[in-house]
Amino acid sequence: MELQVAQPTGLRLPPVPWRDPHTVSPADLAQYIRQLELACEQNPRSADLRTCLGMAHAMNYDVYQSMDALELAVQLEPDNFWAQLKYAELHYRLRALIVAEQETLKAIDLAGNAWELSLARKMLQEIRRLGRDGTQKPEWTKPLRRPALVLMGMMVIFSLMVAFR
Amino acid sequence: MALGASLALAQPAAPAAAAPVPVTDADIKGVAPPNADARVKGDPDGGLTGTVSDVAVGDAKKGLTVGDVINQVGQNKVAINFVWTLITGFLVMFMQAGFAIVETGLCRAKNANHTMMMNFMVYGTGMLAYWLIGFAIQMGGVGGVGNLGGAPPLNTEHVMTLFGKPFGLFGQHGLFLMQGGTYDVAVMVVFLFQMVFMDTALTIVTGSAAERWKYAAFLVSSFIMGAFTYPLFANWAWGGGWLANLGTNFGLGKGYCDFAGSGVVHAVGGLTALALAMIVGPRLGKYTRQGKPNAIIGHDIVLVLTGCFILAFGWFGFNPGSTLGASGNGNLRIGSIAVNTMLAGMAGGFGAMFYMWMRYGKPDASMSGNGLLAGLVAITAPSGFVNPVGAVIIGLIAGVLVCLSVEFVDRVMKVDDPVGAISVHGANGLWGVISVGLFADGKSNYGGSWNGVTGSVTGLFYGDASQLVAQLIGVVTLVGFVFVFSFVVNLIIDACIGQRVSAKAELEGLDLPEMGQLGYPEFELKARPAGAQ
Repeated sequence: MELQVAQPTGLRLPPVPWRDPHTVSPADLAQYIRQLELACEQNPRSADLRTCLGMAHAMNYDVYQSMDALELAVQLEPDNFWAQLKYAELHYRLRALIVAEQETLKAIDLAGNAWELSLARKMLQEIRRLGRDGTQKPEWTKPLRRPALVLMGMMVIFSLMVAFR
Repeated sequence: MALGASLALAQPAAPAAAAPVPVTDADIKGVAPPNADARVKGDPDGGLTGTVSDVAVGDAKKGLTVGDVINQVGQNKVAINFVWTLITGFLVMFMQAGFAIVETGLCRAKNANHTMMMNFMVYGTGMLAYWLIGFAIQMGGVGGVGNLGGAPPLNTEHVMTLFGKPFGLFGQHGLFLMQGGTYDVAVMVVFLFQMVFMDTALTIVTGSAAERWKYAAFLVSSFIMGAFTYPLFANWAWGGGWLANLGTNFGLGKGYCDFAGSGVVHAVGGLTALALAMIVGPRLGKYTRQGKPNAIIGHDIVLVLTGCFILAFGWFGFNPGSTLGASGNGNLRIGSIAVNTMLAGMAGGFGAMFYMWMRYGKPDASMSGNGLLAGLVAITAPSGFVNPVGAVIIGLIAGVLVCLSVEFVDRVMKVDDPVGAISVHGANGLWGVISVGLFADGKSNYGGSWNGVTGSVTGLFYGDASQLVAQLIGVVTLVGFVFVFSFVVNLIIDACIGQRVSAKAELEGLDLPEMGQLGYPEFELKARPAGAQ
């Protein structure tokens, strides 16, 4: 499990450390994460390394460290397909489907070949299927002040109605 | 004889011609039972069933007397009240099923078994805790329940004297339903009815901590809530404790009034749910690093709305049943209570539906369901004291309030509540308590007094501002005591055994790691990995 510390930033494919990530022992995973962190320190501008680190953290069930690494990867290289796809996939696996769909659509725009496009589209399909099968919950996108005032107004009007009936 | 005394008092005022003729034993003996031969042929129209021959005779030598008839009347009254209270208690028990499927439907499919099991076992856990300790703390000093024939063994309250006034703190009779003479038919009925109420409060909490609560911690937390948290506040409000006596001690209205438990059941459950949700923290992925909430979808809206219907049905036990009787002492108001319950519930559903429709463009189903429940929660305390117009206003406000509160808890407080329990039960429970102090119309009459104060419960809009003060003291106690106590207790449990499952278990879904089997084993729960064929 040797890591190439200084990776070229133009790398299109992430390294494949394991054929089946579920069979990696916790010790190997911890070591891999340490090596990736070291590599990221030495190559702070590498989005690919951050993407790999994010994936490794995700395999370690460390959701928020994974989110941090993938967010940084997307910020470093906004046109990096893999960073964008894995960031979207993290949200998809957390079932934060609205964000997952938005981020996957960005990944589709960044796909550079048919294979990348098919990966992103399959994930998008799955996200939409889950969304359709699930109980959609509202996403809070509007400020609270106006409805709070409306509620207060309702209470005052009803109170006056009853008090001066 | 009480009957004779009342007749004698009535005689001077009545004209001589209309004076009632006292009934004697001889008159009673003159009432003939139906012909036995006719009875043998069957009684298709019911005219021969239930006659003088069914009245129990106290002394066979004397035969049927006026005393026997009066005793039978008294027992019939108590029997009607027993049956009423038991059946409404059974309805409330069935609400557990409603809570279970509402919560499960709003959670992800991978946690279905865990969520159902929590709702299933909270019933037994709470029941045992309440039987062992909780009931004695809550009702051990209530001092009798007239509608149910007295229940006199429940007569010992621990009282502290403050400002020269007695402050009831907890009851002392009824441990194991044996201690202090509480192996008593009326006490059993009181126990059953109060037990299902307590369990309703407990099951609220499972919703707010769903999808990440460790099962063992849930059992311990529920046991403590059923044994101490709920019974303490319930004693203060319903068991003859200090909140109920704010009227007799300090002249504040009729004391703290909570007809069926907006405060005692729902706010206690909702505030404990808040404490627990704060301790276990949000589900993984619920918030971004910047604190922006992600919407995590549930898995079955059909379950959610079916559960809401079951709960609305059960609420007809919750509120009208809280009279603890259908006969005597103004209990015929059960009709009005049932109608208020119905009206407020659907007003809440409409309030939430229109709010979401106007604000987000769709009549959101899960929030409409929560609106219905919010209306029902809010009307629970005032249901026995308000008129139908008041009930609709209370429900409408509750429906809007629940939408605002869900958003506030999610976005501003950053507390993850997968099912909206904090808003439905906590916020609207408190609103229900306050609404008694505003909308109680002074027309109810449950035996001429409430909490030992003569007269009917009357709110601010009908002329009694002091009732609102009593209600606000109840709200402060709920937030200041129940929330803080629950927070500390659950923090201790967290330190001892941990409240939250591991990240691995949470991401995989709690069904397998915690319960050992999937809720939906025939379904494909895991999406294929991206790119897999």
